[in-house]
Amino acid sequence: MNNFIQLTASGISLGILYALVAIGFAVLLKATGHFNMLPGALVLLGAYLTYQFHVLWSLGFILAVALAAVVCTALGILGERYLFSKLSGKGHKSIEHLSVLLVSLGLISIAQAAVVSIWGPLNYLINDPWGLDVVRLGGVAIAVRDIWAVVLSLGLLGIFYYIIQHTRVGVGMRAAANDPEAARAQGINPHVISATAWAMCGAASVLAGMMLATEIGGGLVPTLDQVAFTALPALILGGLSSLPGCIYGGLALGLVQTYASGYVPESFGQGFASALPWVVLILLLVVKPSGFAKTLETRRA
Amino acid sequence: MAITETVKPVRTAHVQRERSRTKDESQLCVSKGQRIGLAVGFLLIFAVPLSVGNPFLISLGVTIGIYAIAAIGLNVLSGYAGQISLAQSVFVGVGAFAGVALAGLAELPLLVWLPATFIIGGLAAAIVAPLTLRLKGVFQIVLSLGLIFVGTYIFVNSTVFTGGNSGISASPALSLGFMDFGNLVVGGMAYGYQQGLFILVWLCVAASMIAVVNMHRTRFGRSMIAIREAETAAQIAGINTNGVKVKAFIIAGAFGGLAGGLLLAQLRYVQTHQFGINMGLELLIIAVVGGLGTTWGPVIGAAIISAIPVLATQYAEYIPFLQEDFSQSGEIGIPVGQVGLLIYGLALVLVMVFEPRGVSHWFKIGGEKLRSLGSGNRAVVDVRKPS
Repeated sequence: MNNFIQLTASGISLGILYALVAIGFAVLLKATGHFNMLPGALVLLGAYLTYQFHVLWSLGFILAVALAAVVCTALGILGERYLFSKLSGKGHKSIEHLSVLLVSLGLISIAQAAVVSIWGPLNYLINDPWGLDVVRLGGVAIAVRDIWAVVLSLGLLGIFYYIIQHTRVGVGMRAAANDPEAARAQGINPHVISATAWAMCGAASVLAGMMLATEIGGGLVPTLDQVAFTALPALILGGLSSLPGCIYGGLALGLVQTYASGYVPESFGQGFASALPWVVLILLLVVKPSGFAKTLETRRA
Repeated sequence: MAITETVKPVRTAHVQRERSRTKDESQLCVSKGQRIGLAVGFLLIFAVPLSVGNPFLISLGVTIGIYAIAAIGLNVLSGYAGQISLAQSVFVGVGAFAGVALAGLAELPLLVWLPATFIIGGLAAAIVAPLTLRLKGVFQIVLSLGLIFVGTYIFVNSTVFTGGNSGISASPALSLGFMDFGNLVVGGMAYGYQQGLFILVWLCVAASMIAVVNMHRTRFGRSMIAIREAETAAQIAGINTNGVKVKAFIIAGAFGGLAGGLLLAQLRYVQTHQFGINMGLELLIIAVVGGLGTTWGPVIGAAIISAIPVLATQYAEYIPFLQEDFSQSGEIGIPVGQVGLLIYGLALVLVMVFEPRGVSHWFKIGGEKLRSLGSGNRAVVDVRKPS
């Protein structure tokens, strides 16, 4: 039983980080109409920038994370203004609606090469304030880091929810997702919408990257951007563009993965825990393809 | 009377233009000059390995050929049929491990195991094709990513053929009876393993290209292009779109399997983690950078994408800003191991932004310029076009 509670706790903290990355994708999809993998690069850069600001330049931890988020947001906005928005309709017939996706995949590999070139290939410690502390409740030990991951993520998601539901920009974002041309005719500035989306995406990615880098035994590694791929099932399970959907999808993904690594016997073979979400995803896509294909066609993602 | 006479040449010119449009970039050779070029190419397949002594360059040529074969397969699926897949690396893996089983463990001859890798790759693709082709766009990509992760899981756990995480080595037979590619003797001169393999690999590349070009001219090839251009219209025209897409996927998987078998022959040691997402991305980048839906695209793309990192590693000391290893840290520079990633990324971004038709388009334009310089007749036809 204790084991179960511990697994649940770490599953939730992993899942909420998946949810953060998935929300980065979903918000961009909503605001710009393109599926963009750049958040994967922002997760990586965010974690390394936090390391640079906090450990190497010894700024305060919160300040370091905030600065990293600002830098990542700026990178995202610049990329959107000078690269992604110029791509629409380019490319061979079969990839023209995927050109943004392909370019962002290219940027991910550039980011990975840049990170190794600047900071080197070794693991670093990010010197986070909570370290290896644990809270003991009865026989259960829960890492303080897991609690902070959940609290901070929920806080950020609360802010996102408020922005999307109750501010002018949020209403504009939803309108633009519904019908970009009608929204523009009503005086909604697409630049403001996409800048807001990149700010949300930058904040979510940096928080996720920073938290992933504090994972016990994980540390700061140049392959942190792989989370962009491993978080994809969360996005699909959650139905692509809704904020609560991403949270459910992320939590489901995190819990399934943690339970699988905790309970599945050795005889299932190596790497079963990381393959299981994909098996679930493939089955889901195969059982219910029409529903998903429909969202896709209207979205032109 | 006079009017019909003036109209006639215009109409024939128009028909000619229509014909030349159907003879698009998928032609292996458009003109006589290119046919001569192809013959020279065939000669080069034999001449290069027998005359170039540098084993590094020969082995680089083998690598380019292997990646080109896998990308030719992917190009059928992505370029002609318009279905994007990242999972080509899985079929390369299937081919390689089938090679381990048939050539390494069962010690079958070349004429059995190499075609078998082709067939097994196709069979593996046939199993998963119905899953992925029901989806579109981003979902298709996500599902192909899923195939990579599930494929890696299966590879890691089939330890008999794959050796699990630690990899497995096999030395496949390369003998054709009268000619042993693994131990080539021409005119009393003995040549190395890689030199023989070079001939075998590039013969396979040539065969694949010719097969794909011929396929492009058949009803099946035209159906694929119809699906790419407008799927609903293709359905209305009576094309069994699902059937055609499944066939395209099987062809892609089969060429992937063949590339896997040849990769095993080159390395004689394969490891499950080679066939992960990085190779999948690399193959898609090769196809995109070279030019989707073109005949020479996969070969040109493979030459650019897989050659530059290898060359950079070999000649690191002569290139500025490039570090050979991490020992001299403190100095900012790009580590050699990262050059590949950097090139993939840069090539993909630059090609998508500046030349979405792919690098092979430059070659096409260059070839046309050369031809119009060479022959004055073409220019006369061009002048008549506006009338």
